[in-house]
Amino acid sequence: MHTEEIGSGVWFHTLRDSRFKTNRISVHFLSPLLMDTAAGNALISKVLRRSSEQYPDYQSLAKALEHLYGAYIESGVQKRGDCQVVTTAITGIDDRFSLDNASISAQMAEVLSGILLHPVIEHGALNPRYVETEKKSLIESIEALVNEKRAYAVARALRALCDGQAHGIPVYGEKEQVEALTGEELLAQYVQLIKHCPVHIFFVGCGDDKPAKQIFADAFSGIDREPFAVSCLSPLAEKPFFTVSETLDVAQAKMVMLMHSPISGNDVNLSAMRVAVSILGGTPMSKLFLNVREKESLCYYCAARYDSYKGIMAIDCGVEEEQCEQAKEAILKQVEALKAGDFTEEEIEYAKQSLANGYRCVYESDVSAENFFFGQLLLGTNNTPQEQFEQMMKVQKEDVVKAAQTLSLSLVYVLKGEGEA
Amino acid sequence: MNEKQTISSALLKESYSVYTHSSGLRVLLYPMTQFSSTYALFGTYYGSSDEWLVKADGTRVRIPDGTAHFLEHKLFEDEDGDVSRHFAKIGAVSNAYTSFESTAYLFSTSSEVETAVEALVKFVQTPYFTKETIQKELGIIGQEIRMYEDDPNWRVFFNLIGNLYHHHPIKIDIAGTDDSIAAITPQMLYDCYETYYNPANMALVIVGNFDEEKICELLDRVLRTDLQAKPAEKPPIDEPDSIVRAYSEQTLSVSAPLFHIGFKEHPVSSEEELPTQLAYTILHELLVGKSSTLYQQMYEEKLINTAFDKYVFIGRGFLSSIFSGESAYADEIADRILAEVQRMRENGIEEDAFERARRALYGQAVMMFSEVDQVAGALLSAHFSNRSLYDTLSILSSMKKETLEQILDSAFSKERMSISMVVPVSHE
Repeated sequence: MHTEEIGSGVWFHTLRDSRFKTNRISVHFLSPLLMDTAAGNALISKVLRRSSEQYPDYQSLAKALEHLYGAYIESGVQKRGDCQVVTTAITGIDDRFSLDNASISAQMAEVLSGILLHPVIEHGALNPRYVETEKKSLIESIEALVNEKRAYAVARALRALCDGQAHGIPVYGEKEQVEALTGEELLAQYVQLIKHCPVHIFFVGCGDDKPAKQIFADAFSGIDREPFAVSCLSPLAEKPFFTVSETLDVAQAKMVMLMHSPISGNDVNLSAMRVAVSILGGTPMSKLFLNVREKESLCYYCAARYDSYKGIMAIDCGVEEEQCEQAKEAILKQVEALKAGDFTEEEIEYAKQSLANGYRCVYESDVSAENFFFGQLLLGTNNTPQEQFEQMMKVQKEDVVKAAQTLSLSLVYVLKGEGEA
Repeated sequence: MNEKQTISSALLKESYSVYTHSSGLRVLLYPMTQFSSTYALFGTYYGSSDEWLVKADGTRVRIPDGTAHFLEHKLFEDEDGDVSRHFAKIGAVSNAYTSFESTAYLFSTSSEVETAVEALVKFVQTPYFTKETIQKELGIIGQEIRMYEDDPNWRVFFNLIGNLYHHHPIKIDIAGTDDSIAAITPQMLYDCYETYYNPANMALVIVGNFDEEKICELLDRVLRTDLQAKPAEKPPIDEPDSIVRAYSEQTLSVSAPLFHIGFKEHPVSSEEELPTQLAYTILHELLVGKSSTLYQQMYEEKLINTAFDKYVFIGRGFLSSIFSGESAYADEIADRILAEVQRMRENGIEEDAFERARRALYGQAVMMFSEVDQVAGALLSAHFSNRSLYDTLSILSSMKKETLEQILDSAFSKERMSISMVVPVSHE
């Protein structure tokens, strides 16, 4: 990856790869996750993508994108540790597949920088034509979180665990906050966002990145930048173990167990932790899959994953309500086995091979390559997939046990059916 | 491997090989050797909607709902348990899925391709079903069925299919029900396997970083040769043009009402599937695509939101246009779509809009060729509809707007329209 600072706190990262037939340009604004700005940032990302000075309504923008051979824009906010990342990306085919010799990728960069840095501003408000529709849409997204029961249960559990801390703030903000936002407030927050937030632009594709780089360098040179330092890493505040139970009209109960460890960020033991989590619940050869699902037939899914930003392992499963207790015991038994070193060299090998496959496949798609390098940047490690792979392969059984032993159960969350009241 | 055929694209400067094995199995090899990974799919043209088993003597046996999916789960197991371990050893990812019309077993690997191919071929060609393993699966699939019962997006879609189709077996739930799967026996699974997993019904697709010669040698060694090629007989599907009901509503725990508006259209032959699908896709874009005036109006009036989508649901004996999204005003949206259809019938299709839609579709078709797994999936489904993978590009370039206008004359009829809603539980 080649990186160049093209403006004050604006970095342009290029991953040229001739195998792709596409180019993807993405712009990430790195904002601290704060209760006061979360909803506004989420709304800004939705309002901006509707139009620009050049394409003042969504219909004209959509026509321009169709003309660019179906290039598409994705936008949204993501939580990464204590940060809220505001992302807008455009993807389209490379110039060599154009049927009329168009310079597609340069035009894509023009469209994207226009959307982000030359929005429609009228009567002191940001894109007033779309503020109300996007407020409605964002509120619906907040309300729709409940539709995906598995993700919803995990989000509710994390929120309970991190209550009062940045990581516990919902990434779209609260519904009431969205409702209260005006176009004027949005403009004020937008000005702060483009002035102060570090910006990471990625160009991933087979084409020439120079025109796009120049377009963004020019566009940011017109902005009076005073970037803040933003970090997404901070330790999770310790809490005694607790349980949370909620009800919803569901046929299948969802159980989420959150375990905490101090291993996070650029900790050298992160590789060992990744192997540990993979042995426990990362593959179909993992302890949870083979025992809780295959042997006891308790669940269709039962898996573990690790958030390296915060040091939180989440184990989740869908289970019959009356079997929750049984599933919890079955899961904890496997966690204890992991901590006691009760696993074979073969299990370590399975876990390592699965992680190795992941590292080898980082470059297989534009999005996965971008995710990997952006993640490295935020964690403060800046390794290549190869370096990560080598560190991981060096992990020994005792390292895995040591990492596993740092995990302590913080929360058991259950989402149950409403039953007969 | 016996015959070899090479299919090329001048535009993409790529090609793939189609081999026919002595057993009748088709093997499609698409080299993308610049990539690190290889993705393989071993699929059969047998899915949840194949409800009949036609025996050698011509008699028909009704298979319990959910059998194809159950078989998929069980084939994933050999005498020593879950076959994932063969793949996990080399860090490969393996999985399987059952859809309405096909079932496929897959792996993705970035090392030891031949080991993975051998493991895939062996487990798919070696059925092992017992009473005990079937019993164990009932609990797991029972939980999978529960998960789908709670999935509002699945329910709203599935209820629409039930509204549109009287007898067509696509209305059968893919995983079946607790009762239907309880009736499954080892013998039934073996019978279905014998009929539907015959090599003549199947295809093996490998895409990515592999050595074609070595793969052919390997396949010649490991593919079963004791099977007689015998394509499964599929009874014709008797389905009237009319719909079952114009409206249905289910209450579930959702945040906002979900809708699916469906138009039942006359099905087409398998050769016509791809051009028909592309033609309808362009029509959808012209009617309510993001650059259309109707989309803009409905969006700004807050009738629809960003969840609004549309797709062409097409296969053996069925064809529907589906418009979906989140809104309490599905009736109004349906009326607007019908009015737009009428307007377009009267005024004809705008040349400029047609060209833009076609251009966007061309771009999307090219984009797909950037990723190994996407190429593999598309290759298998193209094969099952007797198409080459590059046909999309050539059909698009020769598409005429007059063809679309012809379709428009009879399609999107109000008489064959149905609305399915999933509405939130009211807490009063």
